[in-house]
Amino acid sequence: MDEGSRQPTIEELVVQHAQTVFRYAYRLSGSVADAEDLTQETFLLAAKNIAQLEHPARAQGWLLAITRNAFLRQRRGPHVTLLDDMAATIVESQLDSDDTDEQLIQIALQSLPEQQRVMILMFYFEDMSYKDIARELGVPIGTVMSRLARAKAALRKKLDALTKKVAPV
Amino acid sequence: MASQPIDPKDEDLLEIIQLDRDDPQDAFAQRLLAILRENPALAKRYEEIRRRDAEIGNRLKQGNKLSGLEERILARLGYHNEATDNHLGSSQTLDVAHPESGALRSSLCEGGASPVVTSRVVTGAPVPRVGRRQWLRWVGALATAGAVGGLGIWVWQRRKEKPRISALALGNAATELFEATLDGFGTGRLLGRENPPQGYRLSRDVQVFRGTVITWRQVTLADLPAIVFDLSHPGGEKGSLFVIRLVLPDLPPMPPRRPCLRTSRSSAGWWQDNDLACVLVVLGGPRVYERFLAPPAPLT
Repeated sequence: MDEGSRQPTIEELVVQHAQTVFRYAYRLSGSVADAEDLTQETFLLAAKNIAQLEHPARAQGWLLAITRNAFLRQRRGPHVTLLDDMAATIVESQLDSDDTDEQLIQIALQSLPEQQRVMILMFYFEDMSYKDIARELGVPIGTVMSRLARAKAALRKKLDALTKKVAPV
Repeated sequence: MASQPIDPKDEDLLEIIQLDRDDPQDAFAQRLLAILRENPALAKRYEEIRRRDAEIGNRLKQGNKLSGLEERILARLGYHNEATDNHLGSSQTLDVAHPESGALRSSLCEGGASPVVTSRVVTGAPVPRVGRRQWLRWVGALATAGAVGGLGIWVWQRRKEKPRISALALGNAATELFEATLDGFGTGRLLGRENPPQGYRLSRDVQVFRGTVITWRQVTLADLPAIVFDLSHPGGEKGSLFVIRLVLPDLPPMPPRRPCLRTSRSSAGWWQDNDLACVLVVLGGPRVYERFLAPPAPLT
């Protein structure tokens, strides 16, 4: 059996994908602590269900889907921390010219409603097509198209505004 | 031509369809191709959108590494594997982990140490005459095997008598239960008005201030009956002490001054208090955890 088709062990998955899963979780949640929790939960679920990994070459996509579902499940739960727009306002007020691209994009992302943020990440981070997104979220294709188009435009607009704000005069 | 209004749905296609990735036979992709062919200004805009897409995608995927992340995940996975192993027989675990090497080991043992003997057995040659020394070796080997077997059976029986759980597994289980049932915190019976079942008590290692509200509930922790004491300090800090009638050899005899386990929400530490295994989980970091511990008694 060649390396690509061999079922990886959970330890191998952790070593190869933990940082990517963490970054994805951070983009979703906007908090390092929540992202680490989400990452740990992802791998616990992955360990329990590793037999469901049908295509080892697609392990990263599988893990990111687990992360996304875990995040959405948590958000449906009883405890909600900070409202998205409130969080974005707080972070934005602390903005200064030393902020890196990486921080700016996180702030722009955080300013989007959760529904749009999830779609944006499925498109950009998980490299999913509109059809895959519609299937995964159980939303009609037309709805995904209009929502995703709006979300992308909103993200670019926010990002451009933030970049202007921190640009040296 | 360039300023021609575009159908809002077609406008969406510019954002959604990725001609370099999506199925070119897709009806929407075909429609977009037709639009772009007809309208060079839109084709230019589409190129710009795709360029920004690539840039934003890269920026989203970049970020600093979180140090020690893999180790922490593997540590938690270690606990879960261990908990799973408890439900399996040890022989099953061995088979799953190293099926080939296990088989190899047993065939080597059965075949004896000497390659000469093995070849004779394989070729069907007559068994050599057994000398006195050989007999002694066999008797010695049998006695050793018997002793090892007896020891194995004794260990196995003892394992069946006692639940096999480690201190870490217990601490993890308590932390998970604490975080999952925060809604039920403080909803138990008020200590002082009603006492917990006999044999369970609030450890003296836990700090109680004047005004601390203590309630207790019955829970099941790692398949074992347990009592959890919920403590609310006057400052609003919350912590739960999980108590199980269990002696675990790997529990320290007194509470650690720093938490053994931390999550984003809580901190936990565990110890043995005579016949009770105790796990303290608090909502907050190490400083809150320390406020739930009684000051250590003087050594002399």
